[in-house]
Amino acid sequence: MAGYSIISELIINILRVLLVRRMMELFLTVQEEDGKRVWVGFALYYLLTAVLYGIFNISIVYEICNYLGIAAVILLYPIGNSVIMREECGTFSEAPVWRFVPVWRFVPVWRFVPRAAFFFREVWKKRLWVSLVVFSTDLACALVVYFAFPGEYLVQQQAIQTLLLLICVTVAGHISRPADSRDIALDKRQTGILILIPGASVFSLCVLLYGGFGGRAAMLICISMLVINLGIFYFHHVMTENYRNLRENDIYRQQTYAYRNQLDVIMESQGRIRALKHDMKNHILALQALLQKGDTEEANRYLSSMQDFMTNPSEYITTGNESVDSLLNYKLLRAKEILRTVEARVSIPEKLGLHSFDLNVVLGNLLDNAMEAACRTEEKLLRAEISLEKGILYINIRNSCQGIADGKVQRLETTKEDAPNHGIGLGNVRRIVEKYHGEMDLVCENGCMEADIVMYINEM
Amino acid sequence: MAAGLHRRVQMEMYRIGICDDDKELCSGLEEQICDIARELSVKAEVEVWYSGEGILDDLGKGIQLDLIFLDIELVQKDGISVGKFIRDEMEDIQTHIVYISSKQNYAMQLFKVQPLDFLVKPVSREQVREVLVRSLRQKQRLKDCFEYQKGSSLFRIPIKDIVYFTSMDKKIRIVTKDGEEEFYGKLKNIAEGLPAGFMMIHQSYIINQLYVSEYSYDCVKMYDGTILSISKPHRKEIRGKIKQYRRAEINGGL
Repeated sequence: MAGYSIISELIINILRVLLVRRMMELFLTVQEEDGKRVWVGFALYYLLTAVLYGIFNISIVYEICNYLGIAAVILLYPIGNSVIMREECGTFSEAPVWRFVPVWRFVPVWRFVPRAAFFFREVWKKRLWVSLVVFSTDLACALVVYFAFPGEYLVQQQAIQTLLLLICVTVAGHISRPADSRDIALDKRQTGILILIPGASVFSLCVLLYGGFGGRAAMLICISMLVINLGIFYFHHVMTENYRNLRENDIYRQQTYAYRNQLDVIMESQGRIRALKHDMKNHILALQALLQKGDTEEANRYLSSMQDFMTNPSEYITTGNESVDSLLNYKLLRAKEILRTVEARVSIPEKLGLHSFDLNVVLGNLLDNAMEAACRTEEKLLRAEISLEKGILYINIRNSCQGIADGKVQRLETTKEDAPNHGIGLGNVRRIVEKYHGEMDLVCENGCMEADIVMYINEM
Repeated sequence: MAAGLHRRVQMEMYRIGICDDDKELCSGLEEQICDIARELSVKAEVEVWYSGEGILDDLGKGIQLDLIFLDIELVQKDGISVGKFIRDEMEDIQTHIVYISSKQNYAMQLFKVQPLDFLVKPVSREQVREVLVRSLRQKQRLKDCFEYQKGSSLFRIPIKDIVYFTSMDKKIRIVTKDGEEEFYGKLKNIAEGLPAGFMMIHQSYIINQLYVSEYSYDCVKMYDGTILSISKPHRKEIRGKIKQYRRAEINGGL
């Protein structure tokens, strides 16, 4: 009899551990190359909890070790490319029209920071939150059963507890859609609340357990804790949605801004043509007079000055692809104001099989970053090249920069003081590039930073 | 070694065509090209057409060109249809086409022709020079021959004619633009010796980039319409190679 109960205990614990993993992965993603490490971590966690449960059953010691195990496993998850929790709103000088923190304007200035340093900055908050939320759900499930069926067989207790956990995980999975809750940035207050609620419930549950309370009242308290924790999942989901909306809002705002600029550019061009047309008669007369005199040189000069008059200096890019044109004209106009050398070569068709929204996020962020970095250098150089060939969009943006060691750069970090605010833009770029199965490289060579991107436009 | 590269040394005449209805532009461009060719010490021959039909006629008669400066806005047969004729009807993908236009907007159709570049009128000397250098550089890369042994005799195929290599059992099949060849060998061994334009997309396929008409992340479409899939382990490498290639192109290296 004892042998059976141990075996079933072990099997049920496997299920529990798998559920814990499932719950964690609602919030964390595991990269393929880390897969093995994570599995080993869970195996160790399984052994730890199995042994301790066998010895201590449900008790403070077991639960403390359980939490430590969960926290340790969470450390194995790489929280990679994006800054997770943002501290507070930043200040922005150039465009006071935008009220929200524009993701767009996160201006990381290139500097290489090793991963470890990064870990201690912001990511620990996300890890802390996930570990608390997972643990408090697990603990609440355990205690509900512990108080509801005191003295029942341990095996049955454990089975019911795991069943409860399964229900919670299923509900949580329905509440928060996994794909979009993974990299969001929240401010201090939101982060605080997110951490506080599971933290407080863990505390009260521990008090219940340690204080030797029991009976129906304790069980009801545990159930309400469980409900509150499920509420937190929902809360997190809403905040994620909200964050995403804010982000998109910012980008749209930026786009509107660019379109407005483009409209000005077009009006200006129109105006020039109209003015020329207005004076056409006089011009023709003047040219006729010059030609009659046989002064072809002067006539030539006259003609070229007419041409100069017609060209609009703020219309650099005219590919006919409106969203790209407007964005580039807008950005390059600003770049020309602050930089010395600005070059752009664009050969793309009028219509691209790519969301203009996505392309704008990529180009806008990269150009902002490049401009920000370039204006701190002597050369003040910016060069952009965008071309389409054989179904592949290639983007190369090069700017002068300082203070980075040569070589391939994996992660970039802002040098601005309110660091958590910045560096998200690049994460967005990477996400979009990956959406199109593409790749981005940031290479630094001889005082030049180069962003190199390929994206596949066609699906066959 | 049974298979490898063989470099051809002799320098041939570089044949350049200009097709534009603006006669002044044509003569100006012709002068510039001759001048630049002298400067680069390249033997070049320039021929001028003033209409799309004219050049189509002569191309149909079998005139071979290395590089064509082609106006997009020609009357009747415009630059797009001339480009399409060269690529689709003549199945010629080696002729470099450089579009010139007074407009800066390009239709998607133009990209299908895979021009070497787009130039906006008025065309500056530096632009012509840059295009010419790029064209020469790309052509130079394709001058080499691939050498392989079959039985006791040695065979050579110009790199520019090879569409792809594929392996079956112990044999390698070379698919060229006009036929197929076979010899005994291992794909892995020849992969190392091939120039940068070749890519291994699959453990049994090596393709010539020149003959790709469209890329997607998981397959490539070749000029003749064949679709070859890029196997999972090769995808990252292919992406990297394409990126490297483009990067070298704009930095003028390679």
